Amino acid sequence: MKDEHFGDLCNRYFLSTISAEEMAELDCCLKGSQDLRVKFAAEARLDTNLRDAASSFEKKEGSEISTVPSRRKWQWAMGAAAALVLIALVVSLFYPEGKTERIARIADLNGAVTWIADGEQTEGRLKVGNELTGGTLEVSSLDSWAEIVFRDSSTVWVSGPAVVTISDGGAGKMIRLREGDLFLDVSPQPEGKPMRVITPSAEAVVLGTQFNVSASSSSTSLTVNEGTVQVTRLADGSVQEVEADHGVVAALEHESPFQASPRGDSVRIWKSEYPRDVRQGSLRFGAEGHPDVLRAETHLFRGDYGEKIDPILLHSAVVGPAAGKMQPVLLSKEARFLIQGHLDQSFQVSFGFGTHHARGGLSGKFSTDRKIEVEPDTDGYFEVELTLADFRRLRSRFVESPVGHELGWFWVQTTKKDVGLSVYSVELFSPEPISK
Amino acid sequence: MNKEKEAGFMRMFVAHEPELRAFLRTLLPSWELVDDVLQEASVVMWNKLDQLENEEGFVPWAKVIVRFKAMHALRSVARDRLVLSEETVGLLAEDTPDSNSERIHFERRALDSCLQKLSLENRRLVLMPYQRSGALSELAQRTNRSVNSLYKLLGRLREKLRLCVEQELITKGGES
Repeated sequence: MKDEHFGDLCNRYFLSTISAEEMAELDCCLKGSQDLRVKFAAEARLDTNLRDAASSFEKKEGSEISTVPSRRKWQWAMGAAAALVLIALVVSLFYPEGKTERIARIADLNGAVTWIADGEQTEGRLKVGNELTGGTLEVSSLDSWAEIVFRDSSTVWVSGPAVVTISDGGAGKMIRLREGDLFLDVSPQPEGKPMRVITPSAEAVVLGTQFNVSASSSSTSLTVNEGTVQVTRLADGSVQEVEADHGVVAALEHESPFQASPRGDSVRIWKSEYPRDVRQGSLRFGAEGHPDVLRAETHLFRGDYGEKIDPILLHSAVVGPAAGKMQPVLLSKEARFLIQGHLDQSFQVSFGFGTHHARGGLSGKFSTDRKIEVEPDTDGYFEVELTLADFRRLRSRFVESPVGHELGWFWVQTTKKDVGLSVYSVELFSPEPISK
Repeated sequence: MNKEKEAGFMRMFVAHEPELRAFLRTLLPSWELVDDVLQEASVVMWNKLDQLENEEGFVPWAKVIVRFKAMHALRSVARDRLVLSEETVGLLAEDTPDSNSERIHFERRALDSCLQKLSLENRRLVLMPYQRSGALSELAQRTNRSVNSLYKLLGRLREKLRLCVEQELITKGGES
């Protein structure tokens, strides 16, 4: 590779103007050459020093660039360090170290699952049976999941993509769900030490029950299967008691209703609505009669458990009724999906969905691929109809058929090339009633 | 709190903070992430200070903590933005020498000298991305130029500065 081109890639990286293709190229270059890695590190040092110089320049705009280390800078740095120490001290009071007791174990897992233990400078891939201290579990891809069992047999199913932190200290168990889906079966907790489940928009206090939580950065949906859960909406501190077969949605913007309501009878038809049902992707609101669209988000996939592959760029849009609807959406034998979307060009597209048991946790993930041909005169619009029979289960441990299970979420995805995938809607039709 | 311990930590952290920052910049795609991770890592360092056997071991020890935190942060943002692969980031971390503080100090001094060789206008341009987001777009509007052309110029100026810093280090040999 020519120095000039590599330098250009570095500049684009450090100036945050790099494209997906260029990032993949830079990654490949750096992986294959130590010389280029040394050059890249030099660019990072230059970027660091330029930032430092900019800080000085800003204060003395129009005059000389400061030299380092100046006394003023040194004093500033000492002040910053003192502040850091203060922060560290405060944090250490609230999060004392030495908590290395094993609190749970991995009962089952699949796919890209990574564990980062608190207070240890290690991270690693998990195996079934691994004992866990407090820490963070990252379940990266749509076909990944993990089952965590606490010492009191309370069980947490984590379905990817999700980021969840667990701890079990003097105040009881705490589960922090940054995003994703959890299915919890909680054993009776000691008096005064309830389990707390915290998301960006809600906090649930649990004494012993079975419930599902689905969290995004702006909204949390919680449905209770057994027992009672107390849910606080963090936006305004209001509280709801959610009983069995009821659910509640807590959004960050507190104008939306926050009221526990019965889940109601199951339904067999559903159509995605934005922004309510967005699970992953970048929502673009339509103007002047144009529909809203969910633009696929780009992310890197680095292989499932045990694999080590070159990173693959994925572009995913995900919608799901669990994000905002209380009525479970059941899949019947004759159910079919209609997906309407947009592609810049004809391309291979992956479609898939996840299902829940009727009163509980994850039951399966299913997917299929289709080559989508877009016609020149349709401005990239496509429409695909798929029956349940078109989908295959992703792992043998999942239920063989999704029939009779609840629809959790539906994804549309392309691999490697960004071909402008957007989803207008996903619709479920079920022409025949489900026999009870 | 042990005052001696506090003072020792502050001294070591301040002395090596530019190196830790540069190390993190090698691993992470944005300055926002670098700042967040360094702050989180400093808390861990403080909590784990008893593990540090002597001051000479501070940088390698701190880099282990910083690297761990950086990998964690990378995974968190990987779905939303473009990042290098974990394997590549791991290689970049491995290739970094144990201690680099002196080199960074000399390069910073050389950069000052090289910046003085640029016109004030170009000096402003090359430092602009670190001062305020959106400043480049505003400049493009004000001067009737495309943002893309400004980025191209910026790229050339950075390359010029990089070569100048190399040359300064050779000719002055790190003399301070």
